[in-house]
Amino acid sequence: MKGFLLAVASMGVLVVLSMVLLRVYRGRKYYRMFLLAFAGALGFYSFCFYRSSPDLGFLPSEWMLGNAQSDFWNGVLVLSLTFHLYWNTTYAVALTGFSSNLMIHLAQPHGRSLDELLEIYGAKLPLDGVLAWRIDNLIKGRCLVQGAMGFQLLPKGRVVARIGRFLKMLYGVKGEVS
Amino acid sequence: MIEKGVILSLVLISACAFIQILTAHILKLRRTFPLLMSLLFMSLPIYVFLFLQIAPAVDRLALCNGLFLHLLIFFNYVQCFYYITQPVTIRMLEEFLKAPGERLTLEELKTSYGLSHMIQARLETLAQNGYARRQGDRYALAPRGKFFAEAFQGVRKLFGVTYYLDQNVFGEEAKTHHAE
Repeated sequence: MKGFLLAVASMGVLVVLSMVLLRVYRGRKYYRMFLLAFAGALGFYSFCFYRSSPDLGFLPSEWMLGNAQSDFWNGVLVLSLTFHLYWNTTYAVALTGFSSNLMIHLAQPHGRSLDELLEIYGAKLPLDGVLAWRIDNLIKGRCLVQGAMGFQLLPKGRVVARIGRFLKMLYGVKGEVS
Repeated sequence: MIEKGVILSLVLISACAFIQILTAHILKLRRTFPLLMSLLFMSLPIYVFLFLQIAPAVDRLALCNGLFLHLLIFFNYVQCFYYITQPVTIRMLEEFLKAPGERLTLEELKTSYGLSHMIQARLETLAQNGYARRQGDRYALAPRGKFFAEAFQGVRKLFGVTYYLDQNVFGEEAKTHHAE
């Protein structure tokens, strides 16, 4: 249980570290700060695990695992899985989620009409914000290339699209799911 | 023992995924989340039973650790499922895959999967799940939606992060006049 308890403590360190890093970070790649915080928390966990006594100074003997290696990797697994949940909830949903942002814009006494929302998202611009952001990232990520005839799918983008299409077909998903 | 617990969890979650796939194809469910939660609750007693079969001598602490890991792995699986089904970017790439020569102009992309389609689909999903309600031509948040909208805003304030569309990232003026 030493690994488990240290993983929980390291998760606390990770949350605080990610908040601090995001507050000082000025770029657009927020996920990098989360990964940095995870690396820091993993280092903190490993340091504490190997520097502390097997019983952490308070654990009863029946709470201690005989195999220290198993205990260590159990903690790593708990920390990694918890980090992924935290990352998804904060980064992918609360901070950058499209539906989350839509909900924030709907938080008006009388709500919003579709036209108002389209204006907010820049639908009248030649390249609206949603498409601009994604096309920009897809070109940088070598999934698309821009030519005279429009945008062309590249091998990397084709692989991602095919995997996505296959998995959606496998799960019987059509359109948006909830 | 931890290894056995993790393998057992992976086997059970694979079985849950198989049931999810079968159910989705047979029943054509519109909402997946309740099904995923039902599968999770069904898997818990099965996990305990099988855990005690493969390790009859273990103490309660090992069982609790195993159950906790099972919960974590299951929720990670749920998140991975939504990684496939929700992202706008994957849907955009699929539109390219469907297009002749895997090529699209901006106008063609806007027609097949434009902003209007994206927003309309999300609004309908929010309304269907009880987060928003339609009032004439307007959409307003239901109490549940208000709670989450405030929570998301709180998280953004806590982290000091602005949404990417509200930033001046493409040389446009930040859309601050729309901010609440």
